[in-house]
Amino acid sequence: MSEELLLVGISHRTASVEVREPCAVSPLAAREALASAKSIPGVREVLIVSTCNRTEILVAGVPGESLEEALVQRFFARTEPNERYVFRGIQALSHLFRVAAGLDSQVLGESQILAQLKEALGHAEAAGVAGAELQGVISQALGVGKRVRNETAVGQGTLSVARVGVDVVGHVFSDFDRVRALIVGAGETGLLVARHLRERGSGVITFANRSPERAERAAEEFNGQSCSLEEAEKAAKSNDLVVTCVDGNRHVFTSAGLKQAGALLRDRPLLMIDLSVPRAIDPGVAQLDQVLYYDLDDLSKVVDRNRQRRVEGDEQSSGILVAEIQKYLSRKEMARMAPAVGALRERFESIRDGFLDELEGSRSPAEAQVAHELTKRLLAAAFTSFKEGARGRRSHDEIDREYQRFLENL
Amino acid sequence: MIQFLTTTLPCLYLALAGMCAGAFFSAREARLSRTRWVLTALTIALHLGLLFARWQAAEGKPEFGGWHSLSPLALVVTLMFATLRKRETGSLGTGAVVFAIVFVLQWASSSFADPLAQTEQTRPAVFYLVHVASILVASAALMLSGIHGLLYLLLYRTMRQRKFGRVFDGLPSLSELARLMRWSAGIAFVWLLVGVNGGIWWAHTSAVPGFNYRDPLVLILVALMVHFGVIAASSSIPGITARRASFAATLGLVALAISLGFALLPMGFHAAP
Repeated sequence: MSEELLLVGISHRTASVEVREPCAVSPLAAREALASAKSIPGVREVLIVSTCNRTEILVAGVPGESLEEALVQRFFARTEPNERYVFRGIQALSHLFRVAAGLDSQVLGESQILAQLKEALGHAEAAGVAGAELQGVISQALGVGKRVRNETAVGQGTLSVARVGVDVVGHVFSDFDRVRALIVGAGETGLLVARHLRERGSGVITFANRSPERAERAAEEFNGQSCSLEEAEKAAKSNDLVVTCVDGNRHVFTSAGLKQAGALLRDRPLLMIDLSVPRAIDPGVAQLDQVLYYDLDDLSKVVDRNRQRRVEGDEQSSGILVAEIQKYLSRKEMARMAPAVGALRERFESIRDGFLDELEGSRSPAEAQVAHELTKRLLAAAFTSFKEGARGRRSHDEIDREYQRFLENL
Repeated sequence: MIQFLTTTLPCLYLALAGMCAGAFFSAREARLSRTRWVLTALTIALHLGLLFARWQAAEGKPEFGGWHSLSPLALVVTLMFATLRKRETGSLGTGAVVFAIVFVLQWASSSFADPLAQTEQTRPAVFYLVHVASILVASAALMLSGIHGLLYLLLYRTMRQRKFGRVFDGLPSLSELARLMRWSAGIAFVWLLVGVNGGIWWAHTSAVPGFNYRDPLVLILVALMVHFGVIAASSSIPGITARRASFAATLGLVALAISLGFALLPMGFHAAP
């Protein structure tokens, strides 16, 4: 029953990283933590979702203040009441579905949470503390997550500047395999850009770095080439794309230098993306005829636009979430009625069989067949009414109102 | 039947243009993709049906000069674009422009040409048929080259201005637009070569009255042939960048419009009857 679901947790919305850190449950400690939660009276099934942004305990059990208190004492003892949240029933379900859809994530719409939910369920199953209830809830939450991302703008467009940079490359050169890229700076950002380019199937990648050893290491990792920072301007001539992500106070690329290196004598434009602060490419290159130049501010505009689209997607997702909650409640209601329905079926059949036994000898096989068919149809009609009753128990509008209240209280 | 198809086709082309433009601006291309394909196939089938019906009604001698020439041109542009579109990743922007132009061509043909008109020529010469068919294919390719060139310039300008809106999202990449622009230019060059020479040969052998090399349409077609030949080979000509080639292709589109004007206005021996 949904009323049996209880969710206690903290997240980036309610608690700082200093508060979240001690509450996190590492994969190694998961089994012990799950066993500890299961030992609390009233807990039938339990699951722990612990990521860098949240730690949440989802319990299916007998609801009550003592259960909530015990969970807080065991997992969130060092948190203040305003740093944690407790959701029950539909609210717990709404929260879980929003988490799965990435609507509660720090990066709106990110999809890593789906894998994290699967992993959490895996841990709980391995520890033997997850049963049909939580398996069903998580399975549906994963479905909701996929549905929201497919049917709304929540998962569309990237929010990573490095990836947006690579997307811009795709608008200039669709033939990625022919794109020769020069990455200036073999640090974390440079390697990330190289990884994104390689994912899209880019051609040769050349690394230029202040320390040549680092450039060589990166070139080795990506099966590319390397050159020194001083040679970068000259190397731009044989590349279609230049990405800079390097520290320093001087421009590595200038208009005069590019002209002198003959980097502008080309059929396709030279795409220059500056991810450095302070900028490593003289903004004046944007005036050159064959250069398309973008800096961090330009790419941030794309990130902001994508974020805005995702926010709009968040608003579009309400309908999906409410429909899924209703589906869950109907299923639970049907499950609740299943024993009564089974008993009713048995009772009907025993009455029918008893009656047919009484008529033994005076009835033909055709009449027996009619009696069987009649009871079958009567039962089918009764079960259909049950199903409709279960579906209509909580109307769509009622659940929607409850969901909207939940959102307002967030 | 002919009347029905003559009035329906412009509407269908307009619907296709609207569908592409609508999907382009609302960014819901995936949902409408199948409908667009079905509508394109239906339109092509009906257009072929119209030409066949005209052929039959004119007892095998339909008039295809002047305003009549615009309808087959619209069909060839559509067929060529449908083939090209398979090679494009984002074809909504190009689709909207191409179908808008095709709509204008078909609308003009439907409005100003008599669908039952017959040509006086009893049996067209082979070179005449080669000339007409080649110029038709070349004009369609030239049109597509110009459109892709125009869209290249539009996207390039948008990217230079750092605007990341629908034009940026919805058009194919610069490299793809440049490739399709040159590919179409190559086709236009080859067919213009065949068409112009076939036409000159036919005019000489059939002693076409009034034929001379200073005819405005002949001069424009020869100039276009050289122009698009250079565009097609521009990737290996130093100094002609993709952007310059796109600009040249756009100018070629304007020149094509002028040459169509010459074919429709009462000037020279190509004048409309």
